[in-house]
Amino acid sequence: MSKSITCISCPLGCHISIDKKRDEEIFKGNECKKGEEYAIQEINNPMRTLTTTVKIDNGDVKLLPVRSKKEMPKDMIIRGIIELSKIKVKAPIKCGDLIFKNILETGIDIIASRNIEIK
Amino acid sequence: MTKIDVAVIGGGPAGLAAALKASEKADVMLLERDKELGGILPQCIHEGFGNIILKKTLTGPEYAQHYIDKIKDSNIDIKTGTNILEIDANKNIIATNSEEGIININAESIILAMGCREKTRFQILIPGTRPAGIYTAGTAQRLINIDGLMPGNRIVILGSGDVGLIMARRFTLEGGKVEGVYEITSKPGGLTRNVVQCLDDYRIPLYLSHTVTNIIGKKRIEGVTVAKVDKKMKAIKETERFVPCDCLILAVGLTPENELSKQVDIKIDERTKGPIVNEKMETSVSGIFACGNVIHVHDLVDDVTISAEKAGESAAQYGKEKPKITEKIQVVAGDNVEYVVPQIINRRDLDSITLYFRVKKENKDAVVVVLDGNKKIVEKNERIVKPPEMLKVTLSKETLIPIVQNELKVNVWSKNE
Amino acid sequence: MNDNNIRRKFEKIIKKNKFENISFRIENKIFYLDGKVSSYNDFLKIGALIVKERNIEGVVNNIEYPNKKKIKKINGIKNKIDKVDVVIIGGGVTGSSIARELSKYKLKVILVEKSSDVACGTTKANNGIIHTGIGEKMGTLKQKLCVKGQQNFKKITDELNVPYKQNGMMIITTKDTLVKIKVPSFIKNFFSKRIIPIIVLQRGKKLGIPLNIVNKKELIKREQNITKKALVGIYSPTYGITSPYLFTIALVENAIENGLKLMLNTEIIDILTKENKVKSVVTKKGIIETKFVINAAGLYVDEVADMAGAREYTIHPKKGATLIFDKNTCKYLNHSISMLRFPRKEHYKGGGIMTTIDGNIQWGPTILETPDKEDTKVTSEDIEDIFQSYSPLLEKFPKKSVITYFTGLRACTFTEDFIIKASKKIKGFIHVAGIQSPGLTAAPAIAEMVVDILKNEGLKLERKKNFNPHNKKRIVTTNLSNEEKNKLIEKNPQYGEIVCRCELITKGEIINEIHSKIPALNIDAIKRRTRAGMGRCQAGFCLPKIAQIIAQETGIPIEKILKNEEKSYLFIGRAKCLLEDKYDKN
Repeated sequence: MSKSITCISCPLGCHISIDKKRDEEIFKGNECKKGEEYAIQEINNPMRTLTTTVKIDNGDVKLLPVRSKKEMPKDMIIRGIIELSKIKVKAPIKCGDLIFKNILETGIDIIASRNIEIK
Repeated sequence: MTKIDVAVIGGGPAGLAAALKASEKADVMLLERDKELGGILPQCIHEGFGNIILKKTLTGPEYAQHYIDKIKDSNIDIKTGTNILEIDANKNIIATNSEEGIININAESIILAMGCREKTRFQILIPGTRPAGIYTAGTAQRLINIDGLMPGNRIVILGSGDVGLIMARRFTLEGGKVEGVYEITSKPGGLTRNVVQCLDDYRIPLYLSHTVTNIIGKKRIEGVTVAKVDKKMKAIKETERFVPCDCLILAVGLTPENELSKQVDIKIDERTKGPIVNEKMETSVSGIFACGNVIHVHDLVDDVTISAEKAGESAAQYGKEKPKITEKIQVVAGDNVEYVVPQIINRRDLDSITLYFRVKKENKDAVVVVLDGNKKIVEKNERIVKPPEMLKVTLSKETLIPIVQNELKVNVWSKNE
Repeated sequence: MNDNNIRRKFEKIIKKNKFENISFRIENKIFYLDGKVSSYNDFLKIGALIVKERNIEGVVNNIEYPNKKKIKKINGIKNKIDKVDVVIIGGGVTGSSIARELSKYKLKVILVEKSSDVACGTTKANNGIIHTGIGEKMGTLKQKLCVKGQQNFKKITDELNVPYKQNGMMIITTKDTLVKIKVPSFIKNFFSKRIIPIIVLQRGKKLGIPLNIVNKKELIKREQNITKKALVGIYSPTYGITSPYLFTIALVENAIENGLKLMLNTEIIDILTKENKVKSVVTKKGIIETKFVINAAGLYVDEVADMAGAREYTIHPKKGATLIFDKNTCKYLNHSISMLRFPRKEHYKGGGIMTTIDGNIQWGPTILETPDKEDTKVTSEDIEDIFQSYSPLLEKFPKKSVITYFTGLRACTFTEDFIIKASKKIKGFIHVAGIQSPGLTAAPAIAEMVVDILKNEGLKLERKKNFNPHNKKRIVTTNLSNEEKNKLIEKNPQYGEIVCRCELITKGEIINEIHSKIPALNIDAIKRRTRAGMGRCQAGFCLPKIAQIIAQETGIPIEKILKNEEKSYLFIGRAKCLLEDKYDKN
């Protein structure tokens, strides 16, 4: 069984495929070792940073940009976005403030990306 | 008349960094037309900022906040909601805002940091009607992330540069359906990372060698026709097909915003559409400096900050020293190079200089060669060179001092040439 | 020639051209055509053939052609909402001029307009040129009224505080003036250099229009970038420019000041008559009782006339496309330039490379028959046509500096002249039909002519003693000195906040228009009045801000703010609105 990804470690953008042959992983298409590392992570457990906006009451701007503190599993991003679309926070906010703890039981927190003063 | 050492026009990443650096040695005024600082950064809620200079992967707002916090702690005179009406070569500035009315400023030196504006549908001559629902990618980004408004349900994006790719993902994560991203050239216009994380992740189709050939809809856009293009990028009529949509997003190019620069007859580089600058980021008008996207479109904000700090340093210094007359070296774009910045190097007080440039065509296993006449003074290998990825080459002081000719040429050749 | 002779003559023409399935009748000098053809071109051809005859005052062309649009029937309110002396149908420059003229008299007048603003039809795409009349067909009504209107234009724009400049036009002949004529070059050049200018000068003399011949040497001095193929110039100093929509808006504002009632978003459904006299006008919003109807409905004059049973014409629209260039291209020319070309399409002056009142450069308009009264798209052929037609006029011009383009539709009748008269059939119905170029220039004269017609038709006209001819001058901060701006901002800080950064339009100016006599409540209405959104970024920067301002000032929820007409919504909702529906399944 073969899976393939595009490596983003450098501008070459190699198309790397991993073939599993009897517990051995064979890499094809990468020009360097970094590609192998990236490919393993990306194929087995792809991670992404979640970034979105969250509604805020009383702030000098209408929306608070937020981000996941660390990368989280790629397939949980959309559910995470939906969860965050339901909440509303209150000004004032400081960059880095905790907005949503342990989103979807991933252990990853969602934090504020900027300061927002009261209107 | 307010007198100031350094006036910085534009409070985006370039202006912020330039103002901060200049404030180490001079009195600075920062003029920004929006009601808040940050320029384009507050609406770039995705990450990818600061990898190089802050050694962190930040979002646009986080990167902006880092500098805004410093600015607020400084003595910089900040004027937001302030538009510049006029500037002249004597460094007089006429600005306006609602608190102070018309403001007359005279500065020892000016730093231009106005960034870019987006190309419109009209500039690329897309035929059709003029319905509601057509937005450039930056405007759509501002609407979604700052104003809290959704521009459309079913979206077609023209242009696969980074802004277009980012918006494809943003629309999707706000519940929209992106019908496809269409790109007129045969390669994606943005970073591979963005093609993967914005299109592949969400299974948004990318149609290379395609363009939009017509806009349909009387009051609100109802759809577009798209077609494949030939090698000359002309639409092939037989391949035309209708794509229904209620929103067309245009990510078709950025132009450095130099309308103010033109007021003072600054020499503009025809290829970058920005001012010609020397290694100190000074323009052709003595005492007027420039940095950031107003000079040329950058890929990474980190490079904007670096160029801005240089401009800030130079502008602060300008008031203290009389400009010295010196011999100049022209830096010229050679083989497969679209443009190089800075375009001029002053022979006096040479120190290491980083040249920024872009290639015209993609090439694998390339070598960057900087020539002094026929002599190779720098040779640097690049595994791959692509127009969307800006390149750099640093010339050390030792390399610069012995330069014989008054022209340096930056070339990008294939290794086997 | 009496009716029978005309009949025989046309039977011959129809037979000769092999047009079967065509029937016609003549009644009161109006030609009625019926039948079927296989193409729109044939429909046009037959209409044009008939009109070559003098003595025909109008052509009603009901010939069926493929894909002919069916006229939609709309519903309206059956209640009587008003009773007035005159109803003017159409809020373009024609109807608006008439409204202003009528507001000088003690009359109850209503102006009904189907769009959300005045000047939304043909007027919106007008190029703003105030013509001298030299380019019109000699002896036509449109030429007569053009000359008269031009003479009055400065006075009326001064009264109304509307921008107007008499900046002249350089008409040129070149080696390509007679390019389509198969004659040796030296003869063509001789004609173009020596004969044509004299003919034009003589025409000018006849009409009282000042013209000067400019030899090539002088021409090159005055226009450094003029084509090397130029032979001679004819300078017409009395050509002028204005803003067609600011003019129209000011006319209506002034009329409102003097008593006019304006009804926007009010489409006409029917016109009721009794014993061949106008009784009332049925609109979407209700019935207005009146004895006099002015049909100034532009592209729809024929459909409106049909409602009253008074139709004497058929409109065949001709679209015209224009390219607008960045203000910084102004330095490539010193005058508006138009090139003479023969033969040229009939009733077409050729357009040119001209300045606008705001300082942009416009190329166009082109001309093309179209069956669709709503065809406002610009095709790639239109763009190609413009570049081909006008690139030859100037050697150097940054053709990439296009900032926008658009199409307008001319409301042409088959007689290709204005039809301004009282209906003989239906008393009280006044035709103001076929107002194509030079409609803007002629507008003041058309209005005076219509008032005369009304007088002759029995409308009692008593002048108002307190008629106020002046319209309040709009505050345009870019026209003020810095001291004046400062004083203004002190009184109202909103004049210090720039909203449109390309054109430097302030929040104060935008708010003024929201609360003006004809409230500007959508993006395009604000655009026409203030220029916000007309700059090089084409509202990319200011559109979100303008929408917020309209929402704030009017209480209209921002998601409901329109670009122009119904259904032209800017946004589909607020942030996250799609997430609630879409992902609920998750």
